[in-house]
Amino acid sequence: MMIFRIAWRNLWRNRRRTQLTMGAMIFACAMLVFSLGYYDGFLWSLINNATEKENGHVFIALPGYYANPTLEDACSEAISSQIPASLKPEIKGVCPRLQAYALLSCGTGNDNRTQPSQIIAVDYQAELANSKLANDMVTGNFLSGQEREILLGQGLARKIRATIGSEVIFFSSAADGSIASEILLVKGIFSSGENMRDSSLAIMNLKAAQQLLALEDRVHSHRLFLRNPMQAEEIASQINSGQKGLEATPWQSIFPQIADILKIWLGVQLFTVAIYYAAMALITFNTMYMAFLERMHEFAVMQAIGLTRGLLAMLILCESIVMATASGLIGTAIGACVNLVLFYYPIDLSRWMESITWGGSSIQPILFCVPSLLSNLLPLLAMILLGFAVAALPTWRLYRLKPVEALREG
Amino acid sequence: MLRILIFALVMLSTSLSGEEAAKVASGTGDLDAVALVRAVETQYQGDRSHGKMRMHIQTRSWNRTLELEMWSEGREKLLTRILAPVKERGTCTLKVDDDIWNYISRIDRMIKIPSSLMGDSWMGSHLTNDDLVKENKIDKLYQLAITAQKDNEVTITGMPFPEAAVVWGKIVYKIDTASLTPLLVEYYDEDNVKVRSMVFSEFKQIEQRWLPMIARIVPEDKPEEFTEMHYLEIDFSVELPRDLFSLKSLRNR
Repeated sequence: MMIFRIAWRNLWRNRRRTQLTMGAMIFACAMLVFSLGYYDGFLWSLINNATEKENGHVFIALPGYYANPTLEDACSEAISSQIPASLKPEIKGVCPRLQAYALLSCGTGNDNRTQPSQIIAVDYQAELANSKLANDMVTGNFLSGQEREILLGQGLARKIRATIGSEVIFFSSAADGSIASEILLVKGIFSSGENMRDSSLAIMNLKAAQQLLALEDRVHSHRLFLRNPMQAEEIASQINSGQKGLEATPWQSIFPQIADILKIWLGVQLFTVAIYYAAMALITFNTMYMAFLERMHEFAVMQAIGLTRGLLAMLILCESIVMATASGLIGTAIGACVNLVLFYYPIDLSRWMESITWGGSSIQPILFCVPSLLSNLLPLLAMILLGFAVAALPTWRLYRLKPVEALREG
Repeated sequence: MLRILIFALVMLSTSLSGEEAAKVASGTGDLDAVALVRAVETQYQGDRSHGKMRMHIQTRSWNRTLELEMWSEGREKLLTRILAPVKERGTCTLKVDDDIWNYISRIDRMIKIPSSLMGDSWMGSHLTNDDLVKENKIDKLYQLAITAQKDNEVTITGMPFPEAAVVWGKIVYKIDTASLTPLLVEYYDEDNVKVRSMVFSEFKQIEQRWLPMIARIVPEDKPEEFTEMHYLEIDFSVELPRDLFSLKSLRNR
């Protein structure tokens, strides 16, 4: 305890130098905590945009459908009996989907505009409860279960010149080969941030699509939304081992690029820590070593009057660790507060930046952080380690200090 | 599809101009594939036809039979109307120049097929919209050459001109010069892989023309699937109303 008190007093003997050094360390630590939180936010945005809007965390369909989807390969709409009871607590909800391609046409005569479109038919209640599809509406409203309503992607609506209330002609082939046609009314226009997707995607009610496409009581897929997305692989594996009639595919297999990033995520974080702290280490080392050189005479006197080498070495080590720990704690607290604020109140940057489509998901222009134990502890622990590291050389030199020579030189 | 059949037929049909037909019929002289096709095209410009056909579509998951009524004028105008099944009765396809319109009787609406969808299936069959638009312009889009001749069978190969916007990388016709009828048309992709075949059969003489009554299209990657078109009747000397090939007339059909 005495060593600690002496170390603390020593630190403030040169107040300005300590303040500058600690200020730099606090800033580096806070920035690092914020950066790791931002990286986590970026990764989770990527995962959530890929899974929570459209795909779900586990994709269940007839075997082979995911790899080669066809209109005719539809499974039963009732799926509850196919999911093991032990998994049900892990599942937040299930969204049945139909998927088809159709011509959507708007306008008459020479003003007629027709576009090939991807149609997703959904159970609107299940979507509202589980997915984030409804969050993308920019004009109008989400589906309400009325038979003839349709939602258009912003780009698609622009292409066929449709607005809210416009009459849109649906024209396709049904699963029995017959012509599927209907007049639908535009209920809303959505923007997911993926321009490619929005320029060809339309969403309609499941029941209406089943009737149109001659797929009564059948759907192409069930999308499971899990309480913990990281369990997707395990849950898909258990469903697949339980029965052979359906095939479950976890989101990690559907978005392998995102899953690959997850695998190297810890490495990315450590690398970031190394980059941030490399410069910091040099600054701190410089401070510690200068303090050591300045006090060489003092150390020699202390050793001459009976302080052991070990206690002296511990003193210099303690000074460094106290400074690093204090800086780490303050920096972590500042960084964690920023992360917490940006977690609850993300900053929308869409006025200045466009979203980017990557790996089957989209990177939204939003400043969003996810505070996690790792992103808070890693910079703190690394900072304490840094304290050890920068004190290593002075401690070693102090341990080998010969008082007579030091006093003569001093 | 009537026009496809007609085109395949007119490649070397009895309606060829006299000089070319004589060359082919005699089996002598150097055949000029382009001149042959142009002669055929010239021969058919301004012609009218009216017919009925049954189209059977067999796919992996379903099969269905449509009965269609068809009208054509020149090389640029074609109108088809579904007679059966009842659910789709009255649904029409109108082709004028490079534009295709579908009239859907069930909802009483028309849609124009965009150019980006020309490669898509026509009415669920193994024909594409592009077949309706481009098959009567083969001589303009493809460089035609006679590549083989054995007894009465002549093979004409069509390679697309560099600037031509076409679906196929190569088209090969086999024609019987004795009856002046097409036997087979093979369609290849850009990698010279055969994509589909059209086989003709049941030849019949109608109004001094030999016509195959049946054409069967088989996709190479799904040999169990096919579309078979069977002519029930065809008339080349019909008078057609002036506004038949118009959007207005689609609703009235």
